[in-house]
Amino acid sequence: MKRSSMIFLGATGLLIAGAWLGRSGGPVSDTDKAEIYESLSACVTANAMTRDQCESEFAAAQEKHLKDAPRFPARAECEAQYGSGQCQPATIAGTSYFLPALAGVMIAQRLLGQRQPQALLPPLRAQQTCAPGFTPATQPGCVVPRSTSSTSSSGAGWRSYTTAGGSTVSRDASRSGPVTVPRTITTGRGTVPSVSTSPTTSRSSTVSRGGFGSTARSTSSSSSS
Amino acid sequence: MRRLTLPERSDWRDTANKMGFTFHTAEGTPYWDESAAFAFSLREIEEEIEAPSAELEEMCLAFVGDAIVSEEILSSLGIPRDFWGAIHESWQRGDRNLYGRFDFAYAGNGPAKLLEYNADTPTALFETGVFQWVWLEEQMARGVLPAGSDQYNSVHEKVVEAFRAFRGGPSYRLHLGCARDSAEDRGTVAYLEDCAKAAGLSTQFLYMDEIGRARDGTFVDVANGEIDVLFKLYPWEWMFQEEFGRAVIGSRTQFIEPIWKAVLSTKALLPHLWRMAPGHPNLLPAYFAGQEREDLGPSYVEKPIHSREGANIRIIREGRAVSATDGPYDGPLVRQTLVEIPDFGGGHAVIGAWMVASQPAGMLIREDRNPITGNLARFVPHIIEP
Repeated sequence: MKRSSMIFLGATGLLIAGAWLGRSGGPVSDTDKAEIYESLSACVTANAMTRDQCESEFAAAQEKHLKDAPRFPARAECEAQYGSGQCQPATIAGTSYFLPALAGVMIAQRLLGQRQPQALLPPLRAQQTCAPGFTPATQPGCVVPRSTSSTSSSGAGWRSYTTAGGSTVSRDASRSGPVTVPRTITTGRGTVPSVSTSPTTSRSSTVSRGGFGSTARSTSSSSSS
Repeated sequence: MRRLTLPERSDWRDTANKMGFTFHTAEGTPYWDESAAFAFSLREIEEEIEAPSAELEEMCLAFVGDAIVSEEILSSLGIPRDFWGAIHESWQRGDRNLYGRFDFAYAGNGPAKLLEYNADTPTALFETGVFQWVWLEEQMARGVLPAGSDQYNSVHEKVVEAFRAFRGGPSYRLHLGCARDSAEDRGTVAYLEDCAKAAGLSTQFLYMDEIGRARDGTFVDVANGEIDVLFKLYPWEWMFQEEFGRAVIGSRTQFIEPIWKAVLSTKALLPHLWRMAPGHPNLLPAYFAGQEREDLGPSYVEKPIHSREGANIRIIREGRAVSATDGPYDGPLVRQTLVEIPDFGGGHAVIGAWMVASQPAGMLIREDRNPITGNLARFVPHIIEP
């Protein structure tokens, strides 16, 4: 056959030659079930691992966090990205920084006890906040901010996190059990620092924009051919 | 090769809209046209389209290797001198490329002739890779086309695989950008984003004018996160002229297409290919204006080295201009021997042959009433007969 045997599209689902499945189907193997624990005691209580294993996973996550989390010279710059009260001082190789807090630890179920956790950070303020009455389940991609003074009921009961790779993960904290996330989030990210995309410094005040795109506006033509 | 007349699927517009193919009708005229289809033999596809595509790609890659060490060639391509170093580095580093589309004149009765190479920002990828594929599946299931029909079309599989391989294996974060106000460009990028997700990447779309540049020159997204890898459906020759263009030099961002593709995404490629392989069966005689030789002949097409969607093209027949299109482009001109674009009854049919990661990957056909294929051409699907 000189054509694709299978096509997967987010909007349409999985299409297979000889049997178009329409809107049914879905990703076959690109997701992982993962546990998220916000504290050592939550890990122990969940009983998926022994206390020793929980301690070991949290220690590994702490190490990763210090290595991979974005570093800011001042608390204000860190909080500008992660929100008020979400940052803490740290001294790394003799230099003082502010880092976003370690908000949780994520472990793929298939990697439980193998010291390959992902350190989770608070959600980025730049991410879209869930609208009132909505949760990440009903408004995919939105985040529930961690503000201590939040009066909004949006995302009630949900918790959002950012990975070191810049992906957003949310879960319904009123329910126990794993979340389903793209496999890229539970693997690659933390171990491939060269492709980490998290901002390593606050750039908000020093970024200029609009330096691309002017030709498209000045010719009425499409940029493609 | 023959042209079939076929019944349309009554529900194809619904299917198209559901799949996000919203630009099936452009400027009030149909763009997707399944009232007809082209039928090929497997031999025609493999020997006349696929094999020549692979060979031309080899020649093009060899040309890039020549060009980056030759001031004379680089000057002739219209690439500003400031970017020559970055192009050289990108090629030496082995930056991978994603895709390109050769446009051929082919009528089934002689070698396909290369009209041009869209090496940087080709579109019609979704229509080729997905919608044409679905059309064949459905028309076979409905008994309109014989079971066992095939199609030259592994575009989708190859694009997913190319995204997966871009960084040599590990997953990475991909940003994708295009200009505002083009449903076709936005649709193409949305499709590529789907492919990237299928390859396990995390993705982020942004418009080109949303790209930020930090003080240290780093390109950043709307949330000020660093852009590691950027797919841009936006021509390099435009970026060269724009305010942020120079920030590309020495940037840590990996671009798709890589900057060395600028060497190929110009009609100035055509005279260079003819110089490298004069008389090649899949090439037409081509020269820079003012450097013509006898074999160009009195009938030729004249095109600016950077023009898109059939703009600013003149046809000269027996020494007299017989057809011309308007457009915003000027600059150096290339002259290429006129070849008749075959008309099977539905307009002039041009074949687009896709390369994905420099591998032949599939094909589309566009028909246009005008002998110069423009942005009102219609996409007509194809089959390989069982």
